[in-house]
Amino acid sequence: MPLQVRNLGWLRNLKGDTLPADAGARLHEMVKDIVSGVNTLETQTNSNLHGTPAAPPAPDALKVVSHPQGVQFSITHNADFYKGATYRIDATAGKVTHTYDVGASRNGILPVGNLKASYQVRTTYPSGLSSSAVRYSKTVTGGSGSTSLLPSQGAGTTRASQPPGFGGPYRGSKPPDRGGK
Amino acid sequence: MGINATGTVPVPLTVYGSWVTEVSPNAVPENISPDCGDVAFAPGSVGSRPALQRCLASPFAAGGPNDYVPTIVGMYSYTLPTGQIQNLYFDSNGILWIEYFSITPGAYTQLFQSTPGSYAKFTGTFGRVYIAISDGLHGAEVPLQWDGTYLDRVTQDGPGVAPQVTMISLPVVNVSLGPARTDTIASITTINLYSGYYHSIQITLAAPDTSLAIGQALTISGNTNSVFNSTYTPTFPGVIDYVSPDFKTFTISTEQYYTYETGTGGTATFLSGGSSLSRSGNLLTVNTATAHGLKVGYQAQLQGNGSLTVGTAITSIVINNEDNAGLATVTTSTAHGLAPMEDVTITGVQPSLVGAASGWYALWNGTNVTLTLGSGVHGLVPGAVVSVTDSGTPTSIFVGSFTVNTVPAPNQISYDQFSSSLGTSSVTATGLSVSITWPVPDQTMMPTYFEVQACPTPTTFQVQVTYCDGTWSSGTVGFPWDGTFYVTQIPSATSFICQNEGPSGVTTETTGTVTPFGQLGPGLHLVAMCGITRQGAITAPGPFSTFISNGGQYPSVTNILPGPRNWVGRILIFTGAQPDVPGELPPFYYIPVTPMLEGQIVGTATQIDDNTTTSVLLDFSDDTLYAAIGVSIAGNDLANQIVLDGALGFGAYLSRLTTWGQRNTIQNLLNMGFDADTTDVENPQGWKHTYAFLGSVTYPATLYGRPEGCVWSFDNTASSPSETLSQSAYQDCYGDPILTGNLTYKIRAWISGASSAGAPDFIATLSSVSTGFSASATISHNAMSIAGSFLEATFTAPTPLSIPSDLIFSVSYTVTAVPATIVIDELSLIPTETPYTDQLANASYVNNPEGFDGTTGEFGADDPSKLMDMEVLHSSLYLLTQAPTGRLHETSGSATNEPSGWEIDEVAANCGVLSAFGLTHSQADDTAASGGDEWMAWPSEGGAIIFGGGQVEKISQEIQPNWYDPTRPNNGLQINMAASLTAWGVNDPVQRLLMFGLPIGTATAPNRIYVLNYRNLGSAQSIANSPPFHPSFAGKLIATDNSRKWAPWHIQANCAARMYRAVGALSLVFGGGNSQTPGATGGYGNVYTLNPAKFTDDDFGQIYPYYTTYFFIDPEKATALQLKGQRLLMAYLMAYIQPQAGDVNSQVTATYYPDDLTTPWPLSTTRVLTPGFRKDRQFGGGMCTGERIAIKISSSPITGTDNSFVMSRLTAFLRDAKLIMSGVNK
Repeated sequence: MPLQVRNLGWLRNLKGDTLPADAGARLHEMVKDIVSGVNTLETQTNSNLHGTPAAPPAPDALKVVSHPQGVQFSITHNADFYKGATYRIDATAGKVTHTYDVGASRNGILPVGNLKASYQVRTTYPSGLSSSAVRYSKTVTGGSGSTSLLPSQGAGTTRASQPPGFGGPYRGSKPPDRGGK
Repeated sequence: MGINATGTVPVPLTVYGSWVTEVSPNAVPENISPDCGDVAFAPGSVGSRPALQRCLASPFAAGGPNDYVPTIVGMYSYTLPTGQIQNLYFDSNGILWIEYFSITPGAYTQLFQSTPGSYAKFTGTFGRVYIAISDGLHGAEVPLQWDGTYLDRVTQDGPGVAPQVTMISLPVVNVSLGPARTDTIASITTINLYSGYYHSIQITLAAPDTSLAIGQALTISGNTNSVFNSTYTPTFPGVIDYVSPDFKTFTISTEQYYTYETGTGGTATFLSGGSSLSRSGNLLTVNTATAHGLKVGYQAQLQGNGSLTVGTAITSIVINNEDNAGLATVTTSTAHGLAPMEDVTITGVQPSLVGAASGWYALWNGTNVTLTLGSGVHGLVPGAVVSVTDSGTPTSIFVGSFTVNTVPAPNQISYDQFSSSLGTSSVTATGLSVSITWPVPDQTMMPTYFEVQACPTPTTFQVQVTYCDGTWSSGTVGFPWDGTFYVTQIPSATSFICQNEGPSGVTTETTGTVTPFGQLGPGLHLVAMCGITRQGAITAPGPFSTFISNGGQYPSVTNILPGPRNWVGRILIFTGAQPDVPGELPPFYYIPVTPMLEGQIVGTATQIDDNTTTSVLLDFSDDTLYAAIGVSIAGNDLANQIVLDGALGFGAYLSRLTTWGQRNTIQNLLNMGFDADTTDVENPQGWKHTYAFLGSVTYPATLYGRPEGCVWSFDNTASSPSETLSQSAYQDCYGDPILTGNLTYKIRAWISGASSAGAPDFIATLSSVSTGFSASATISHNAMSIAGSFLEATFTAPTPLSIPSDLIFSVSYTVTAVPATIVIDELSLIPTETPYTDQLANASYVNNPEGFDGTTGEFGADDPSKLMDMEVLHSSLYLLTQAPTGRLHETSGSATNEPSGWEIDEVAANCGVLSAFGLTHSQADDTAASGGDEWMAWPSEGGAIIFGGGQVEKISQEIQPNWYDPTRPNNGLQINMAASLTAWGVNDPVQRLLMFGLPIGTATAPNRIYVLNYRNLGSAQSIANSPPFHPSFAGKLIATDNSRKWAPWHIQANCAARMYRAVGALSLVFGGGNSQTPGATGGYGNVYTLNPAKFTDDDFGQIYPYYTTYFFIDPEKATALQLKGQRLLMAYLMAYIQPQAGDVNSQVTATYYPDDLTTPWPLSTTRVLTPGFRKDRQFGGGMCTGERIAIKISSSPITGTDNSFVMSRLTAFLRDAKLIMSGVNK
């Protein structure tokens, strides 16, 4: 949500006998430039100048299969969001949960060995709120299975079968709504 | 008349201030004028304005529907990047003219014909002129651009059909000996002198021979020095041992020459066969038995060609883990020519003796063998493979190859050995020999390659081997010919050259093959095409087609249709291999130029740099594609580009082209302007063409005066039934809907046709067979003209609530007995409920001025009023909407967002601009900054507005009754708001004049120019804060100089601009008008500058300049001068009035207005303005008597029409009237 600075209109019309005639206009431009720069930073960092950054839309699905080195995961996320969204996978065995920050990757291998665990995924912007968690319906025992890679939706703002990388500044044909207030 | 100044007091007037009508005329303060006309101010003086002078010797020709001589409604001076100046004019007949001012000033030619009665607005940016032809509110013509040579449409249809791809394999060809050939020799010399002898000869050819290779044999004959004429073979005297990189010079190590020899001419004949593969200078030359079909950048896969033996033979292989852990140092008998990172084979290495021959003895204890070296240490480690031989009677259990298991002692090795026949008894033997085996056997499933790690000397190199210490002294090093290489040269159809790092050499082996190996990744791909215009724009891509790449094959692309004549190329865009995911469209990429990686061509470009090629064979990898240019990337998404239907104006901001005034046209129908086609096409792209007999074709649009592209010509002959063009109106190729349900649409098109009785009508239809829906829109022939015009018609019914999948949009014509032709162009479908995008502007992608994104490129303020104009001030973009409710908005753009994400804030309300041509900038209109203050000004409903970034200020309050006041009748004084769209503004930063051309009274086009002289004022604030008068501390209105000064000029001009009428000098130029709506009646067809040496307006005739003073005398001053301050008598008048320089034909009249301006005093005084008379002119006062008296100074011609004046001093001699009170009271 862009920075809202009060009294800009008043500043623009500022006049005074001891002030240059265009003092208000120039001060207004200066503050506007600062606002513009702050808003640029907000966009680039997915932050929220007026509160906690809202979460990106939740992922659609999580798939986890056993892998010789642990488990392999594949996140399906079809929503539009900004570059910088990261995923966190919770592996829960018994009453213990370990959270793995897998960054912008929607595919990867978690080195959990032959741990038998249940998994869920959330997404968040740095310092932002987490989306609701999406669980994988089965408990998975790691350490076995194929090394073949699961189908990928790419990473970051890329989509399926797009070239490697983290994609453009946002998904979709226009900047998605960030939500939040 | 006698002059009696007795008893008078002189009352001087030294300040000639502004025209002020806000204050009652007889109440205006001293120094202010209640009435004036056609005067120009200077500090301390006022005089007649300069006269208009024609710029063009002959006016623009009569034309248009009524054959009127036109008025001029738009103009611009365009300075080309070369410095050449071209002046563009748009007249009321709809004709765009060009004057090549730098070449033939005064002469002009027609550039384009558009709709008569339209307006034009020019914007110079991005190195060209953008031309918006409009009706004052929306584009009336397609948006145009002029680059000094070509007039083209801004944005253009993309292709309407998809290219087709077939994956093909190029045949595998056998490697073959090269053909015999003969080269012409330029010269031969002996070289390589040492020990007193020349050891080599150097042959220089007359022309390069790319088949030259080290090791080739040849015969030299015909050289002028017969000593060189011989056959050179490997056995004697030698063969080529060096080839220069340019393939023009080579050397042969030969027998020794005792003296320096040289010769010229002759030939070098390479024996039939030559070599099959040769490598020289890291270039691999391959000869094939048949044509290989390869191209530069293709990949060639060589198989079964064996290896080149390098370094002749191995003299030693040493593994010394203490000094070079993990490395084997290989020494060859001759230079190996290898380099690090090259792969080699090492074969034929025989085991190497460890310790003395027969110096080992052995003990088998039933489970393992212990071998003991009699003298010394063996250096072996566990894992080493040893070969044990017995020089005496072999003991079978000890003979063979074994892997060392343990090393019990430095002279012992042990390995496991079991024997069912020997039981568990111990066995011993002596006189055994142990050899260590080279760890890699020759015969493996796949050749074992060693990567060269280092090449310490020309005859040694090191490879990685994890093995125990050992030394071997046999074997050969092979450098494989096989591999997959990029082709770098194609000397002939049966030979090619690849970049291949490796030792030089040749082979005559012909067992191998060459497989052209296509690089495109296996899987599903999509392909589409864009056009490249001569303006450098890339059109939106057309529909895509799909194909499956099998891997190792080449995409053969066909159906690459040529575009219109202003296309200079096409771009094939591809996706990488990807799974077929419904609903997900993978990104497209294209390779604009031949791709190179580390200096090597690695494929072919997908951009076709011509407009004629219809098929190509390509080769590129997905990685190369991904590393090239993305089509669908945020900020430059070619697929999202829209085609603009027209424009009200253009601008530039943040390296983007901006435009506004568009219609809400449907964007995803195909080829609606037929501008994707070349001429004479029977089936225009994207359309289905049905006809029974003779089919129509596309024609060059320029034949019909349209911008480059094509038009469709329906040829209705009496003998042929109707024909139809149709396309789907349901979804586009991306699955996006085209039309919306339950909406009524109208069709708009440029149509040329006969209007005569019985001529065919044009019909557009929306229909669906499955639902029975049909709606039509008919444009009657009555509305058509042969010259063509944009016409509209509304469909007879709204679309169905749900758009059926078989909804078809078609265009046709009614069949009549009258043979006639209907030519159509620029078709568009527009929803009738929201026909315009009035609140939105479009901004292009950065530095891509024709790339307007239909989604992210739109921006606008939250303002219901129509966007009329934009201007950049202090790096911010200001948006101005239409009066009377219009507002001013601002945005600073965004470093991270596309225009749709820009924040737009309101600056002020109730300050909308009257017209799209009213906004003017403090700096020169050609964007050449004149320096100084920066502000913009425009005519609003409430008055003239100025804005410098701070407060929006009104600067015309003093003439409000002559601007607009709805509470007063418009008795020829106020702006005719019904014609306010014709108002214009211009600023002359040199003369410091701000001008507004306004339709006053009943005029329907500007007939008056309100001129604001802001000399000695600069900033918006100083102009705004310097009204002609202001209240004193005592509350009295006082007027001083150095304030803004208005004056009306009676000039009929439809536009004005600063233009080049002389090299290096911008002049204010007016487009001649006639106070009537453009095209309503005839004009003078010319443009005019202000010439201070002229005293009659060209074409428009005599000027009537006058200046009326305030009503003498200010009461306070009267008191000070001891006048009673009641009725006055104008006894006498002195004024320093001169004719303007060069004028010898003027006289000046002093007219007195007692009490008010309605009735002049019957007596006035006229004085001839004799040039050279340097004294005040003396005027009788006419005994004018009144409560107060104003003096009107006006000039007039003595003969003819020339007249002028300039007045700098005026002194009225007043005295009390005899009757100081009139006593009149009605």
